[in-house]
Amino acid sequence: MVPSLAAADWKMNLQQPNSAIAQQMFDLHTLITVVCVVIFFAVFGVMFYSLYAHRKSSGRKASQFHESATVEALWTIIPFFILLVMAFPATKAVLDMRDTSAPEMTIKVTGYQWKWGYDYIHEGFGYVSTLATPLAQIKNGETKGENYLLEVDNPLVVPVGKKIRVLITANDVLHAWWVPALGVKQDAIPGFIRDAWFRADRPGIFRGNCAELCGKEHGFMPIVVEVKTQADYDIWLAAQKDKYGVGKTINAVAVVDSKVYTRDELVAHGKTVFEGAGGCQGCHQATGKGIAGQFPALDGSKLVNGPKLDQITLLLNGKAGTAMASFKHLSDKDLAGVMAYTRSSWSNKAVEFAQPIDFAKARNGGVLPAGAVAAAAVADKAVASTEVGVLSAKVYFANGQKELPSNAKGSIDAALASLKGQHGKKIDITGYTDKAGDRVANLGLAKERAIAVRDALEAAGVKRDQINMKPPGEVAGGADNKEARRVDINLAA
Amino acid sequence: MASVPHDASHGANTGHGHDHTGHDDHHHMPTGIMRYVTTTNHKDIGSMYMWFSFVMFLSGGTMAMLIRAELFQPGLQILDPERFNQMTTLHGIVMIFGAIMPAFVGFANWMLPLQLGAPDMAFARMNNWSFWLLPPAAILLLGSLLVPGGAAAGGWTLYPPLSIQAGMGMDMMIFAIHIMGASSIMGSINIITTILNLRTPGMTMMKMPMFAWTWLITAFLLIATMPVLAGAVTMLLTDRHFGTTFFNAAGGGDPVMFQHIFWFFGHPEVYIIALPAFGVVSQIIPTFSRKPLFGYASMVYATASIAILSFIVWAHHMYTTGLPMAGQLYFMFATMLIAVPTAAKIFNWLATMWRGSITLETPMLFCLGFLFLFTLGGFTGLVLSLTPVDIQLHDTYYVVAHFHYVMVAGALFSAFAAVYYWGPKWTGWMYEEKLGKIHFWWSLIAFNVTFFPQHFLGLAGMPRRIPDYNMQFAEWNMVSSIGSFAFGIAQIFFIIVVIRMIKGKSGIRAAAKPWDGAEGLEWTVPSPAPYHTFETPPAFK
Repeated sequence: MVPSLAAADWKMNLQQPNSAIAQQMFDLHTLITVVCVVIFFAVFGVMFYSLYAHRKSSGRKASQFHESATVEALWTIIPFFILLVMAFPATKAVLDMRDTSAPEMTIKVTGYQWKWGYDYIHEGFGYVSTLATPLAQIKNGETKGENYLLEVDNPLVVPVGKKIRVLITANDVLHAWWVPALGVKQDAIPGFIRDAWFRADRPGIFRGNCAELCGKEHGFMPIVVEVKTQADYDIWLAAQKDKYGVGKTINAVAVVDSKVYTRDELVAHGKTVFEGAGGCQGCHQATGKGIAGQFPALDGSKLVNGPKLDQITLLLNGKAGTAMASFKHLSDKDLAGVMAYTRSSWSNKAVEFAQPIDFAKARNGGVLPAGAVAAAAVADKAVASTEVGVLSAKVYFANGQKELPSNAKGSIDAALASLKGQHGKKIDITGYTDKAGDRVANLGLAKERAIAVRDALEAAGVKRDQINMKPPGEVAGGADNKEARRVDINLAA
Repeated sequence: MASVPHDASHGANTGHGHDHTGHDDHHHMPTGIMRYVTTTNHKDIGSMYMWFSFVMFLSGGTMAMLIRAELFQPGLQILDPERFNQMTTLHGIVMIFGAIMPAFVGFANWMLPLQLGAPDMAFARMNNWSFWLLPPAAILLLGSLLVPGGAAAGGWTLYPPLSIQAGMGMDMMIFAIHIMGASSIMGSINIITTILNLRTPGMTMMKMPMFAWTWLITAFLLIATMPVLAGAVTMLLTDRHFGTTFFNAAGGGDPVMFQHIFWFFGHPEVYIIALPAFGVVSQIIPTFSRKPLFGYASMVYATASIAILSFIVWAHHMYTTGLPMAGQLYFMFATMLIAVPTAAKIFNWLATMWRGSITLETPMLFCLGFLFLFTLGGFTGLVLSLTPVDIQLHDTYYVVAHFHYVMVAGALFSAFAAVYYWGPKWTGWMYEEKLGKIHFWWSLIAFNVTFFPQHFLGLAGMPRRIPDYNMQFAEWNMVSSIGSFAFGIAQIFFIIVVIRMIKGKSGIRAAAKPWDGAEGLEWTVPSPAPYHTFETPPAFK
C-alpha cells in the first residue's frame, strides 16, 4: 500500500503508452492540443487587446465597418488548411488502429454484469475476472489500497511483443473494454462481436475500467492486463492448461464434487460467496430485501423457497432481459452454498436445499456427466454400491472426429473404478457413428473411436485382454444426435 | 421574468384599444392563477417558460450537487451506485429538456414578437398548450425518483439493452420525452410561422435580428429531430413491453441501431441548444461595442452550415462501437469540418468588438465569458473529433468537461447574458450592476474550478458515470466538487439578483432603451413592455 501522499500526483495527461497505437494516440493528442493552445492564445490575445485598446472609457468613438470579404474568406480558408494538416496523422492512426489482420494470438473478451470473461480460444480454456477490492474498502471501513477498484482476481495475461487480437462481445448489456496504456477501447455489444488489437511494448500490469455504463456496478468491473515476457507467459500458460485440464489425453474436467455436505456447511460457505466481492448482495442486498423495482427481494421469494430445480436453473442460466446474469462460472459448491444460504437466511426456511452434485447434474442436462459416476461412487457409498455392477459409461466425440475428447477422463476413471478388485472381469467397448454419409466410412470411424477409448484405458493401466472390442454400429440421426457419436464402455456380461 | 403589469382586469370591456403604450382593456381576463393557465399572451407565456426553466435548473443543479458530493472523495458515502446513476441520468435530461431549452423558448416568446414588430406569436393558443405540456413532463421526470426502482438510470442517452432492463421510471422518462417533444415541435412551428409571416413591413429576412435567424434555424432542427427521438424511445417502449426486438440481436435487432437513431437526434440537439445562444451573443456584443455586427450575412450562412453539418456527423459519438473503418474516417472528417463555420462565428464576434467603443456591463461580461469558454469547449471538441484520440477519451471525464464547457459556458452563460440584457425590458427596472458583476465573476471562477480539472481526470483515465474511483483521481475530484458547490451557490445568488431587479431594488427605472448602443424594435416600446405591443406594425427603416 502506498500512502495517499505518494498517490497525490495530480495527473494531468494521458497515461504512458505501452503500445505503438497508444503512442500514436498520445502524440496526436499532444499535437492537436498544442495547435489549439497556440490558436487560443492568438485569438484571445486579440480579444483582450481589443477590450483594452477599444474601451469606451478611453474616449473612443466606435468605427462602423461591418464587413470585409477578404478577411472573412481568409478566416474560413486558414482553419480549413490547419484541419487538413491535422487530418493526415489522424487518418494514419485510424488505419493502423483498425488493422486487426494477422494476429499472433486471439482472445475473446465477454462483458457481463459485472465482470469480464476471457477465453483463450486457441488454447482451449477461459476464465472470469472480477473485482478484487474488498467491500469494506468501498464502504470506507478499511484503508483503500493503491489499486483500489482497479484490481481483479484473475487478470488477462498476455505475452509481450505479440500482436494480440481481442474479440469483444457482451452477454447482457453494453460494456466497453478499455485499457488506456494499450490504446484499446471497444464497446462490447450483446449479439455482436467486434475486434481490436494491441501489441504491448513492455511487460507490466496495466489497468482500465469498463467504459460504457452497464448498470449499478459499472464502476466496479475493472480490467487488468498482465503483460509477461514470453518465457513467463509460457510458464503461466502451462499452469493454466494444467489447471483447466487442456491438451492432455486424460484430463480432469469431469471432476465432480460429490461430497454430501451438511446444510450448515453449505450455509457457512454460501455466506462468504453471497457477501464476497462481486457477490449476490451487490444487487439483492445483505438484508435479502433487494431494491424495489430493480433487484427482486430474496427474503420471502417464491423462487428461493420453492422447488430447488428452479433456483438451480436460474443460478446457472440467469434470466434474460434482466441484470440476473448466469453464474455458471462459479463452482458447484459455491452455487450450492449460495442456495443453502439464501434458503436459510432472513425469513426463509425452505426445507429443500441442493448439494454441489445437483448443480453438476443440472449443468449436464439433468444427469451426471458420464465420467463423474465413479467420482460420485467413490465419495458416496450408497451411490457406489449400486453403480459398480452396472457400469455404463459413455464417451461422446465431436462430429466427424476420432480424437479422444478432453472430457473423457471421467468415463475412463469410472471404468477403472468398476474393474478395481474384480479380477477376471472384462469390459466391452462399442463405437458408434450417425447414419449420415457413407456406411463403410462411418463404421471405420466408429471403430477408430473405440480404439481411441481402448488406448486410453490401456494407458490408464487396463490390460489389453480385459477389453472386448464389439462390432461398431450406426445410430439413426445426423450431426445433431449426440448419442450417435459415442463409445459405450460396459462391463462384460 | 416578472409578471407583466396589465390593467385589463380593472377596465370595462369597452371595445378595442389601439394604444401602443399599453393601456389595453379590450378583454376581460381571468386573474390569479387562471390568468396563467388560460393566457395566450406571448409575454406571459415567455415568463412562464423562464420560471419553469429556472425551477428545473435548480432541480437539475441539486442533482449535480449530490453527484459532486458523492465524488468528493473515493469510497461510497451518500448515494448508493444505483441512485448515483439515476442522478446522472436525470441531471442530463432535466438540464437539457427542462432548463436550457425552455429558457431559450422563453426568450423567443418574449423577444421575437418585439424584435419583429409582431403583436404576438402566430398561434397564440398553441403557444399556451406548448408551455402547459411541460409541467406534466417535469412531474413525470421528477416523480420517477419516487416510484419502485427509482428513476431511469441508464444515462441520458438511454442506451439499450440497459434501458430495457430498467423499471417503470424508464417508462415515465419515455412518456416525459414524448410530451416534451410534442411541446418543442409545437413551439417550433409557432416560431417558424411567426418569423416567416409576422415581420413588420420592410423587415426583409436579411434585415432580421440575428436572434430571430438563429431561432428560425433552430426551430427547423427541432422539427427534424424531435420525431426521430420520439421514434427511438417508442421503440424502446415496445421492446420493453410489447415483445418487439428492435434493439435485441436475439430477435434480429441491433442495440447499436438505437445509438444511430439517438445521435441523429442528439447531435443536432447540441446545436438546438447552441444556436439560440449564438443569437443572444450576436445581439449583445454589438450593443456593448456600439458597432454593428460584423459580417451579418456570413453569420447567417455560418449558422445554416452548422445546422446542416450537424445532421451528418452523428456517429462521432460512436467511434468505440466499432464502426467500419471508412465510417470512422468519414465521421472524423465531417466533424472536423464543423470547426470552420464555428470559427468564422467566433472571428465575426471578435471583429465586431474590434475598434468599437467597448463597455463591460454584466450582459457583455457574460458574452465574453461565453466566447472564451465556448471556444475552449470548441477546441476540446476538435481534440475529440480525431477518432484515435477519442478512442482514449470517449466516455471519460474529458468528455464531461468538454460538453459542460459547451453547454454551461455556452448556453447557460448566454442565457444569463440574455436575462441581464433584456431583464430591464421585462421588469421595467435595471438590475444592480455590482451584483450582476459579482454573479459573473463568481460563476466564471467556480465554473472553471469545477470543470477544468475534469479534463485532467479524463486524460488520466477516469471514466464518466462512476460513483467511486481510484485514489489517483482523488485530488482533482475534490477540487472539482468544491468548485461545483461554489457554482451552485452562485446561482442562488443569481435568483436573488433577479428578484431584486423585479422588485426594483436598484431604484433605477429602465428607459425604453436602457443600452445606448442597442439596436432593434424591442427598444422602441416602453420598459416594462406593455401587455400588448405592436397591434399595428411599426415602421422599420
